[in-house]
Amino acid sequence: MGYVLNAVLWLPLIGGLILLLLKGDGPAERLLVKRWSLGISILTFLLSLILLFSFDSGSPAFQFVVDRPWLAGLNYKLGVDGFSFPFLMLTTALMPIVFLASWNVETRVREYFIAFLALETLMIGVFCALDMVLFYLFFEAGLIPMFLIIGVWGGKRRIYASFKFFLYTLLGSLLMLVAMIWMWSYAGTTDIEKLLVTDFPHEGFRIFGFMITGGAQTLLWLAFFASFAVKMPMWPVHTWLPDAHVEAPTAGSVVLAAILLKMGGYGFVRFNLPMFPVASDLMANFVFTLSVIAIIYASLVALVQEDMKKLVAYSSVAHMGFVTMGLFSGNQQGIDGAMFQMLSHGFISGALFLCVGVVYDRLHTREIAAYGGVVNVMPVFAVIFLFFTMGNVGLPGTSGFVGEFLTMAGAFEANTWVAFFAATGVILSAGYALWLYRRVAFGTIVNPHVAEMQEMGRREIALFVPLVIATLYFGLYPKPALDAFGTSTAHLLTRYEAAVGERPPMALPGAAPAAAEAHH
Amino acid sequence: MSLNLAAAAPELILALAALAILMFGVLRAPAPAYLLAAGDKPAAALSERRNAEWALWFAVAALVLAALWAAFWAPAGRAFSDAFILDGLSRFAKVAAFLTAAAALALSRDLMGRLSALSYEYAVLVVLAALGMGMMASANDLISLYMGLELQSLALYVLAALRRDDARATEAGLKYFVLGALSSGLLLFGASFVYGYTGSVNFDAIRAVTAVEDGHNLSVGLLIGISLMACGIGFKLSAAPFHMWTPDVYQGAPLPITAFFASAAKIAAAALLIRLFYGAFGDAGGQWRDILAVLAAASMLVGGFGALVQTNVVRLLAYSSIGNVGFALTGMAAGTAEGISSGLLYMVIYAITTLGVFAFLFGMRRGDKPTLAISDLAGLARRDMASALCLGALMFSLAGVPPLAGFFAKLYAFQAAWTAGLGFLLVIAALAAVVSAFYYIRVVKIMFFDEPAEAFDPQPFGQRLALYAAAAFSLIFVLGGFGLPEAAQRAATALIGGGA
Repeated sequence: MGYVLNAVLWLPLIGGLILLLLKGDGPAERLLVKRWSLGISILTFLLSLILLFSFDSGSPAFQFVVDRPWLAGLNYKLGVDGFSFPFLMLTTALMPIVFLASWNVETRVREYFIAFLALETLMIGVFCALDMVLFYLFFEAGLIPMFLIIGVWGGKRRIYASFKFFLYTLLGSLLMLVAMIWMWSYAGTTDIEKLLVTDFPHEGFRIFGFMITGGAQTLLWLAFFASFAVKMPMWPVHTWLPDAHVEAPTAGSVVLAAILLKMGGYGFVRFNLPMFPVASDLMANFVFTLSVIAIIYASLVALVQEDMKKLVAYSSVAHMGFVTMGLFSGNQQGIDGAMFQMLSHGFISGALFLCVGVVYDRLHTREIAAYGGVVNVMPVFAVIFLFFTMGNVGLPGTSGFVGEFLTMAGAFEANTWVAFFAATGVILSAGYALWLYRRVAFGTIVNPHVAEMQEMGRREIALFVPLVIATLYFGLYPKPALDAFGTSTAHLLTRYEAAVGERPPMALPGAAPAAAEAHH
Repeated sequence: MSLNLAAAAPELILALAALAILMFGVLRAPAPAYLLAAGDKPAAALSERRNAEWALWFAVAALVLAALWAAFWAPAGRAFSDAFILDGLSRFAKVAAFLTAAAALALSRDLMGRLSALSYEYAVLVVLAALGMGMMASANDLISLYMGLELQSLALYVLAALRRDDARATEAGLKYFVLGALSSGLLLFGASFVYGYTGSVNFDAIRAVTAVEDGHNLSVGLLIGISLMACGIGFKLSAAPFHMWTPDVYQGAPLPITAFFASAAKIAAAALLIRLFYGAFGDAGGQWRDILAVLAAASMLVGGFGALVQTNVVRLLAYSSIGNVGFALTGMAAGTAEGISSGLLYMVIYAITTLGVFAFLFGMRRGDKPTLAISDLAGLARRDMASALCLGALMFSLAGVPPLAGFFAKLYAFQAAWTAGLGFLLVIAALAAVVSAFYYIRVVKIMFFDEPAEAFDPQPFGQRLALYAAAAFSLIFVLGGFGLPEAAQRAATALIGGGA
């Protein structure tokens, strides 16, 4: 089945390259470009369905593996497991929606669609690369199309935002590259499958008189953390996200929130947790602290936003706080919940950005104060917007609930205070989300332009239908996704617990992480 | 040891070609202008121009032939009583230097013609410089090293000042000459120390002496010698803190000459560095690795921060070349076989990328006047999408963003440095890479996001083709590297694995 995975990976890029050959920029060509891109993305999705039907969620092993020699010392190796496959499906499923949402783009249409098709290949590549350097390649290369998408098709401060986005992520990534080179020379391979069973040294040593507890693992962990935390984004390196979101076109925001952010979380479960378990355990409290700050701080900031997109962006930061909290709780519920939260955030935040896009297309402003009373003119939109607002809040029955509940259950086991503070985030999220909804949808129509807004057309409704279905389906029956994650999580945890248990009971500065005690 | 001319055949080809072009130029030259009637002058100028073009194409052919000969037909071995060696390393460096020289020469025809600097002497000088480069890559004693270096440098000094009527070019040539002579002096002074304290000019003999002393307790005189030679080579490579001449000379010299400086000359200087440090002082790595590491760190930082404030594309590229030499030195400071191969690979990838950029710069002209401000690139994407995409790819490649070729250059250099325990240098490299990424993507921003400026004159086909080819190289490299990483590894093991 490896060739199907290869096809899913490269089809979008090849489709984009074919578009390069197209001449002319008339309305007919533009429509052709849009239809072609939509067709390619749907075809990719159908191909990925073949993988879905033959994917064995009971096995923790990598499936559909492709392995070929590549440049000197490197391998072209692909494959998916329970962690990566759901994200691969998320990507292929969302891209047709992204293209459909871009139907109104009229400037530099061909380049726009080529950028998104290339981006699709790169995102899929991140999730299925099994060679460390190949992973880095896909991870970093995504910067180029995203930089151009924000810079060319963005709003007023697009240049500032695109530079911030590029340089922030590049700095994090280069530190990760240095760490990867360390691992390459230590393990003698860049094969992720082999690195996953390599025990990286964790004996403490001194640098300039400072004791590095956890030794090399801690330094490697920090380097990877620097990259993934920026991508995630975690407080305090989240500041690029609201800028990038506000300035990106709607489809760019959807891709950013729904898929690109997931690369950070995926990186944590692919590299940090299984490869540096001792360091992950040591750093758990540090991550908990950042996560809780992110949840509370980002929620409070979201409350005072006047720009709809910024509000949703800050809410993303808060929700990603739940993810990091769950991941480093070091138990089955926490990690499963974090993965599930990412998946569900993919649908819900994607849909929320689409909702913002729908009203923005009509009123050309994202200022919350300009709206009010939208429910009177756009009842269908109001229903859909309400549904996803509720999903964002984590209403039981939507997929948002499952993720938040599991991550908090996991965190409770690791550290009750963390769970306590995170729970306040749930309340705050209800606050900002419902308040946003009230200000946009309810009330009387003050702005005369709102009264002229048209109800959503068939294309726009079609965008939301699959997202509504997915949010409801996974909210009511999360088993398929949890099964896929669960097998891989259990596999990860056996290694994790073995490593953490074997750690010599040295006297650490400060209290030993609670997670470690729980396992003893 | 015998003469063994077969091993030096590529150099002989170049030497004969240079002489042949000279003869051709002299014999076919029209009568001097003061002897001609006014009506004959245009015809004479035309025939001079035609002669120069013939000379140029003949030189290109000679360079390609020499490269092919070095790659396939010249037997490995030593010549001229051990003063000259042809092994994997010199083969790799020669092929790369000759081919980039040929490409730079072929590309320059149109622009040199426009600058009315196209003369048969130009072709002769480039061939002589290439001959010097070949000697540098093959030098196996201090005398031939100096001879090769000076042959190359003297030709380059003249090339920089080729436009005698242009004040800037003259200034560039003079600056380059004065500073170059100083650095040659340093190198020669260092060489005399090395000779004095080892008792030989031959690299094998020097290596034997430094190996006995175990590289730890070398005599101070020898250390002074090594340091002075490192300074001299640092100048030729334009590594900081010996980089001061670079922006001025790059900007002042005719653009095609600058392209030649930035590509072939850099490869040859890197080969010389490898030949000297890995060959002659190969067993005293502990003594020079720190020097190279400091040069690398300084170059990366100077290249990164210096470029931030530039407004002229050529000066930007000058700082970019300083920074890139720093990254290459990061790999070469390793002192291992990976150090050599990553350094060679880096220089080749850099040379091809930078030639592509220069090919575009040649055509940055409006109304036949050069317009080389970065802001002249504004909105290029809307004027000429294909060129903007290619130039953008080259910029991202220079910034080291995957999946472009420049990323792999950096990857292998970093890996070599890491395995040699230069972790601290890597952290500096990572930070410098972010700083330099800023100005590369600023160029991309200006091309793609800004409102279009006035269009450039139409580009000649050859320059376009070179730009496309370089962009295609940096994009397709990811598929298999064109066998370059493996070739560089073979070149490295020839020097380190095969013994002295």
